[in-house]
This record gives sequence, C-alpha cells and structure tokens, in this order.
Amino acid sequence: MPASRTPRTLLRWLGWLGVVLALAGVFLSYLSPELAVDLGNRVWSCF
Amino acid sequence: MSVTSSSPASGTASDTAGSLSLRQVLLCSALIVTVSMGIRHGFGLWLQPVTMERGWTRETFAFAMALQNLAWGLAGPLAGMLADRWGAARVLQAGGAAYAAGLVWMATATSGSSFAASAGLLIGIAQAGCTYAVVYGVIGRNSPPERRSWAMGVAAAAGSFGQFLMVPVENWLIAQLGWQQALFVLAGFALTILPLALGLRERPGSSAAAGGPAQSIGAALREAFGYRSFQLLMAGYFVCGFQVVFIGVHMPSYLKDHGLAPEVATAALALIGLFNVFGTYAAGTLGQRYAKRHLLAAIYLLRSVAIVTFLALPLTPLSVYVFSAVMGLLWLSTVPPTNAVVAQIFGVRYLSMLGGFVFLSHQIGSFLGVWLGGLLYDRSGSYDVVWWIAIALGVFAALVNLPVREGAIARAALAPTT
Repeated sequence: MPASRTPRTLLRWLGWLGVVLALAGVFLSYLSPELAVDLGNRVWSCF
Repeated sequence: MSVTSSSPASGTASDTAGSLSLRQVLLCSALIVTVSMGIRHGFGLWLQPVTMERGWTRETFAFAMALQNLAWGLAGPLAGMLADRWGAARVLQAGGAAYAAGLVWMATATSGSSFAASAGLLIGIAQAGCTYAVVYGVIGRNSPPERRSWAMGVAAAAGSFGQFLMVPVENWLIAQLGWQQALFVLAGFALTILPLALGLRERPGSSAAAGGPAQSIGAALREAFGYRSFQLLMAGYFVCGFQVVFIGVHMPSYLKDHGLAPEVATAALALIGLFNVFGTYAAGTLGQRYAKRHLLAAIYLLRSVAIVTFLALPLTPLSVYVFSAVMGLLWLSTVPPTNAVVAQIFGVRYLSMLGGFVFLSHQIGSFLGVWLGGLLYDRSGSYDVVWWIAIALGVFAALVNLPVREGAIARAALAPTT
C-alpha cells in the first residue's frame, strides 16, 4: 500500500537522520577545544 | 541407556515463543545497555580527582578497577543463570539498584578497602546484572532466529553509543559539579534501569517455553562445556578481551611515549567510539546474511592486519586516526555474532547463562591484556612484545573460529535400556 508505506519510509529516514545527528553531535563534542584539552589531560594523567 | 530420539536446540517453532514485541524489547534493551555500558566506560576520568582528594596511590584506584572487571566476569554466569530461571527483569532491576548503590558508596568511600568494595566488587557484580548477557537472553527469546543476530547488533550498537556518549558527559559532570556530585548524578542514571526493566518482563515460563526440550542447568552446562564449538567460541572471545582492553588502556601511554599530543589520544578515543557504533550494528546485520564463524574469523584476522600495519607505518596523528577508526569498526563487533552463535547452537533457554560463561572468558582475556601490557612494558621497556602477542592471538582466534559448527546441537533423548 503506497499510502501507508510512505509515512513508514519517512519515519525510517527520520530515525536514521536522528541517529546520524546524535553521533555527529557527540563526535563534535569530543573535538571542542575545551573538552579536547580537558579530556586529554585526564586521559594522560592515567599514565 | 540408549538413544531413542533427538531434537534440535533452536530453529524450531517454539524457539520464537517470546511474549514481548521485538520493538519493545529492543527499545528497553538499548536504553538499558546505553546506561549500563556508558557509565562504566568513563571511570578512568575519576582517577586523578579521587586519588588527589583521598590521598591514595594510583594502585588503589587501579586495583578497584581490575577487581570490577573480574567481578563483572565472574558474576556473569550467575546473573545469567538467575535471569534464565527467575526472569531477566528482576535481575536487571537488582543490577540497576546495586549499580546506583555502588556509585553512591564509591563517592563516599574514604578508605582503599571501601573503595575496592564499592567501585570494584559491588559495581562489578551490578554490571553483570544489567549488561549484555542478561539483556541478550530476552532478545534471544523474543526475536525470530532470522532476525536474532541483527537484534543483538542493535543492542550492542546501543551499548557502544553509551560508551561513546558518556565519556564527554562524565568529563563535563566532573568539571561542572565535582567528582563526588558527578557520581551521584550517575547513580540517578543507573536507577533509570529499574523502570526500563519492566519493559523486559516476560511471561512466567517464557524461558522454558522458548528453549525447546526440557534440560536442567547442570545438563546445559555439561553439554556446552563438552561441545567443541563452545570451547572454540570461548577461546576466540578471550582474545577479543585481551586485544580490546590492552589497546584501550595502554594506547594513550604508547602514544605519549612516542611524543604525540594529548589531543591525539582524545581524538583516537572519539574515533574508536564512533566507529564502534557502526561496527557492532554492521556485525549484527552481516551475521544475519553470512556464516557467523566466517565473520568472526574475518574480524580477528583484520584486527591483526590493522595492528601490523599500524606498527609498520611511521607513527603520525593520521596513522593513529586511521588505526582508531579501523579498530573502532572491529571493537565490539564480535559481541553480536558470538552470542548469536551460542543461541543458534544451544537455543535460548539458557542463553544468558551460557553468554555469561563466554563473557567470563572475555574478561579473563581483558585482565591479562591490561596486566601483561604493564608487566611486559616494565620488563622490556616497550610495548612491542605485547603488540606481537596481540597480533598472534588475533590469528589464533581467526583460526579457532573457522571450525565452529553453527548448526543446532542434536540433543539425545535418553530412555531406559531394554
């Protein structure tokens, strides 16, 4: 049924878009200068 | 005694007799492992503030973390056994409550022994109650065999995402609230497992109904440990633990020794976390289409190839990033196919318990990866020997996974001798 398939496909794409945005957001948070330095120092301090 | 009939362990109609919708199971499982795997992943960030404030040595902190990993592995089979017998939801709720209690105790511990008991023992046991082995039992019982590997991949990807997400979150919490308050907040996160576990509450008897022929726990254990393919899977998973934890713990030190900046280690951590999410999901999906033993052999072999290439090339930030991305793809990608093969061979009745035993092998490998990494570094002055052990073990794991028989085990029904 094309009528019901379209919203389902749209929802699926929106779901994947949400996943990609969440992953990109978290990845970018690692690269923000303050966090990168702070986290790097903490990781380094373990050794 | 004579053999009168046999029945397969899985793949039968009864094998999919779950009482919950797969969507509900995946949603609740994914959220639970996101929390449970995520919280523990950033514990290393507490090393500096805890040891400085309490005046402890790093050994005190490291001992608690080592104890946590061992307790997690050792309690896994027991937690799995209880989940298979009494229902995963109860075990998950007990695990979530113990996790929260352990975090609060960890924040308030003022002696080394108290810290070891809380951050080490209690949290380790709690993790056994609310991570993959317990959750996979529910997923196995409520997903049809043709979607099981994929479903396990979804849950593993969620756990990987939790690890990826929680490191910056925990770093931010420590910076904003202080290390103690940050642990209290994490305890609040752990408590969310309690209501989420309600979504995994199976109908009484679901485990028995989904598992095929009646079998006692002792019989299931004897069968599994006497079956060559189970032994081979355990041997392979041991290698997984050795490689992943050796690299996770010792790579920053390796990079530091070679003069790379702290930011390179941070970016490497981020890349491993990001690609791990894709890798675990892809492994689950591929496990649905291809023989899982081939998939596992390929993962272990590719790890060895990646390490050899990394060591052979000049060490630069770029080579670290590429290596991290590749290792990220292969990081926890062994989890869905390994557990799916266990379900395929033995059925899902005792999946959590058997998964717990396989995971125990993983944790022994993890312990040796960390310990030998430090020991051999101190003895030889470099990580070269341990890198080569990791390479050799990867080849070994690839070879031992190839002869694994994925088909359901034929169970003999015993009858009195005539």
